[in-house]
Amino acid sequence: MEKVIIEIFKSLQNNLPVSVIVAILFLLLLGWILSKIPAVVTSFEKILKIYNKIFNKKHVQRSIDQLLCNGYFRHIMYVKNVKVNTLYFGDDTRNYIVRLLIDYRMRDLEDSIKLLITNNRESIPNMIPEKLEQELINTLQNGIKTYLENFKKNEAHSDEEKIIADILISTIWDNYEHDSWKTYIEMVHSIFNQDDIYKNNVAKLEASLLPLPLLVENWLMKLEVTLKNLNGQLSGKVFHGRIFQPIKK
Amino acid sequence: MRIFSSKSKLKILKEHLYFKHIDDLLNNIVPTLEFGDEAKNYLIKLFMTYKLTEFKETILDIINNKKLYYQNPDKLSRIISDKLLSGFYHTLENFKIKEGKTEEDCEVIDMIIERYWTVYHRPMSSFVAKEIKEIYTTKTYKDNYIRMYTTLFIILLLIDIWVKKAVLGFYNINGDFKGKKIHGYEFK
Repeated sequence: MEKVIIEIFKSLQNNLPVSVIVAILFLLLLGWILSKIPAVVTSFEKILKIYNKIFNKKHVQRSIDQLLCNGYFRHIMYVKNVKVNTLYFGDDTRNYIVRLLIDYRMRDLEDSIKLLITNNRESIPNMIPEKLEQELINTLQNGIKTYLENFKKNEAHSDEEKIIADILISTIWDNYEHDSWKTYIEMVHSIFNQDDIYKNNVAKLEASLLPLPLLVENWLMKLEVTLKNLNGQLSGKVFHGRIFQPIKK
Repeated sequence: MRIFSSKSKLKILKEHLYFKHIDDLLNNIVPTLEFGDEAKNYLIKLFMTYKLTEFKETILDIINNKKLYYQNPDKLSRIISDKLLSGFYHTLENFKIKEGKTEEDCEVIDMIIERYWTVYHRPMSSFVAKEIKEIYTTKTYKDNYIRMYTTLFIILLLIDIWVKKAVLGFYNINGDFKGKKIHGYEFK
């Protein structure tokens, strides 16, 4: 290493006057000393922030547009249009009702996050990270309740349909207690507190959305297992004109 | 905004929630899980402890590699996917070498662990491999430390799901191993 440095120095000496080399070395040394003074570093960071505010505004808005094409939204579309038709819940009626319920959930996951991003398009870059984190968590947690409420309100018309909706909802609700939402929330908190890795709110939001498809996949897998084990609670009941048959084990 | 050297980024990586969460699973979650009988409890917890420790060490090996920063992102994503997700049979073999003292031990390990892995973990793992690939191909992340940091969140969630779903999975695994023993514990 030392030999390489000496070689470089010698070749510079051959091509440049000594005074220029000394000036370069002096500037390098000055830069190194300044980087050790906290006040200088803070001022430099402030200047960088102002620079980013002025010149990166367009770039940030572009990043927000890209956020709306995130893999998360692609995955929701895939589940809604393709995957849901490959899941099997025991019989045609169970398939019908659970696929309907999944559609509600997917629409909620898609619309609520899109709304969060588009409604706050201008403010996201400058929002306090804690506030954005809370908005994201609230959106996702409220969604768990609202899609079930909407499902019941829009699809369960007769008393029997309301009972069926209640059985499904309580099963799914109980199931939530054991899933990985808690870990996900911890992860989001960790992402939003990591300014050294994720330099702005858009990067934080993007990193937070990335693990969500995994949570959706887990939910679908568990839904399949849990609803097969309802042990005859639905058998004989009618939903939208379809009768639940006893499940053959 | 701060000016960061690769050294401090490495330190940040080593303080990732991933490592704290694995420790939490090992010390607080796994010991409380119930799988139906004493023998299942013993074997599955033993395997989980082995696998979780391996998950931790594998990532530490990858991030301690000095070439990490300069590695081709595509190659790095393949290394992570191979080591963490496809390397299951390698893990199973090592686990059998360590814990399978008799032929009966190995037979039971094969039956229970492989069946669980095939049904409950493989579909998720291939899904995660695709997610990881996306992190390494998108232009959003500028260097391998940031890519790695983001990847660890996805693997963390996969491991969390794997551990928490194991209870549901193992309750439904019945059959051929009834009456067999491992390290003195008999399967009911």
